Amino acid sequence: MDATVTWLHFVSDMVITLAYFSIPIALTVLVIRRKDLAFNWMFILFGGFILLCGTTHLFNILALEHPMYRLDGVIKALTAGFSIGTAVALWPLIPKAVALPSSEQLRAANNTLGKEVAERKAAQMELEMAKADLERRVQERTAELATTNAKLRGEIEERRAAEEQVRRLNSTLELRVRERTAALEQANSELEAYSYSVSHDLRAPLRHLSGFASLLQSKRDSLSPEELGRLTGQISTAAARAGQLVDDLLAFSRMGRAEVRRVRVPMQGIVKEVLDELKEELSGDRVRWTIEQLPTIEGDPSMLRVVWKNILSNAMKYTRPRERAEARIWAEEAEADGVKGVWFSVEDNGVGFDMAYVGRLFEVFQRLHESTEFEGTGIGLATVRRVIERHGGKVEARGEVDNGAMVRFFLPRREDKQS
Amino acid sequence: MSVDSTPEGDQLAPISNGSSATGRETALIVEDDPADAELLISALGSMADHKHVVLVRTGEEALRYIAERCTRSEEHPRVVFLDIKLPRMTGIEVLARLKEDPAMCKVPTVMLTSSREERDIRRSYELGANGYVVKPVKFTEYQKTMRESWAYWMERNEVCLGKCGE
Repeated sequence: MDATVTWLHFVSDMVITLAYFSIPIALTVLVIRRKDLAFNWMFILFGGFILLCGTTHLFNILALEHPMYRLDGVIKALTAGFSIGTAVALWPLIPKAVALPSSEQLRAANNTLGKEVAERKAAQMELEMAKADLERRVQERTAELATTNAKLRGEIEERRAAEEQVRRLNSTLELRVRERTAALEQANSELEAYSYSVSHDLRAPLRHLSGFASLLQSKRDSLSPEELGRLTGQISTAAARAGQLVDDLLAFSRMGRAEVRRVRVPMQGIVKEVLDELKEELSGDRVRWTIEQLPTIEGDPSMLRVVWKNILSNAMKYTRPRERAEARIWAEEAEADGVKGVWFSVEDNGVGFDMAYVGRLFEVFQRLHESTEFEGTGIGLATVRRVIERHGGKVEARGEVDNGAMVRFFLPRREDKQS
Repeated sequence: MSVDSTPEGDQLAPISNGSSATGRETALIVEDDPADAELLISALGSMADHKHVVLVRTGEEALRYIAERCTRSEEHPRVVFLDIKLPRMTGIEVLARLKEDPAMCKVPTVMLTSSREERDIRRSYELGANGYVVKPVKFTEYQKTMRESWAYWMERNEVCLGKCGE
């Protein structure tokens, strides 16, 4: 054979061999790199088949110098087997490979997907924005509701407090109305008694004046000196009686009107002074007085003096029929109706009174004794009650017909309580 | 004129035996004020001369006096002149006691008082008072009023006693 032809064979086979050997390497690299490659086992088969083809061309080069037909044949047989296998395996693969989407299609699909994803994203973003907005609104509304709720609660609380206050005010108002009504009723009944007295008690001495003066006039020519003295005596008694009634009424009314002063009043001293005055006025005092220690108490000295004067003169008056007239004055610290104070008591062994009429004892112009037995206008103890009640205290009496009487009054202590 | 004053209520005046032939009839006056009692007798003057006036000073005495006359079936007072303002038991209370008692309610009872109070007048008539006389302050008027009242009650033969006995 010609050397040129030999060289042509040699070079060609050499290039083919090298090219054929490089292809399986490239395929292997590809298969390793692209793990997801479809039908990669086919690439391996191809690689093997091409490697074997390259090997046959290498043996063609070797055969140029030293033909080794046996080995060459074995390689060709191997190649033939591999080729047939690969070819057989390839055919069923074709429809599957055809079914594989092209990169264009993939791109399009990708694009669509991308668009869809973008749309989804936009939608999601919108959704998220909507959600955020909703959340914000929910939060706002919640906050609003919370505020409204708090406000409502506050209002309910206020309303409840207001209702409570109204209830409290109502009850205090009711109490005050009751107290005021009671006070008014008392004032009314006192006023009635007052007008009653003007219509009754005050008219009596005036009627006597008119009557005895008329008698005096009609009998003026035939009067004996004794009769004259008696009639004029009746007239002056009636005039004095009218004067006394007016004085007592004025005193009683003043005790209701005058403002109650509150100073410390030493009762011991007041009682001594009043007794001295009475002894002088009534020219003598037959009563054996037992005066215990009397405390100092807050009150109106001139009003309390009137109280003592009335009570002590009563004791003197109603013990008059007694052979041994006795009276005792004492005081005791006590609590009345939940108020701390002092009871001042005067007890005598005089004619007493019927407890059936104890309710009238402190009423204006009520008398439990005949005026022929014991003089009086029936205003004294009413004045006592008025003064004591204006001091926030109260009066009581106990007695038995012909077996003494006890009159006592309670004065509250004011140190810790302002009225 | 004979006047019996009975301060203790036990020195009662002699009363008629029930026969009107003697002409002696009793008027009971309940008056606690002696001056008023004297003026009343003086006001009646000769009118009361042939009458027997019994004077008591308290409601308790008046009730005792009338009750005795009524239960003994002796002649009860022809009329009772009853003051309202009395110590202890008031004239109104005496009137109530008289009029609630079937034996005593037949005694005509005239309130003789200074009170012109509406409630006293109404209460008296409600309880069955047979008359209500207000004592005038002026003596001449007092005299006139008393004489008229006295004549009415003492010289009438029949007395209308209203609801008594019902």
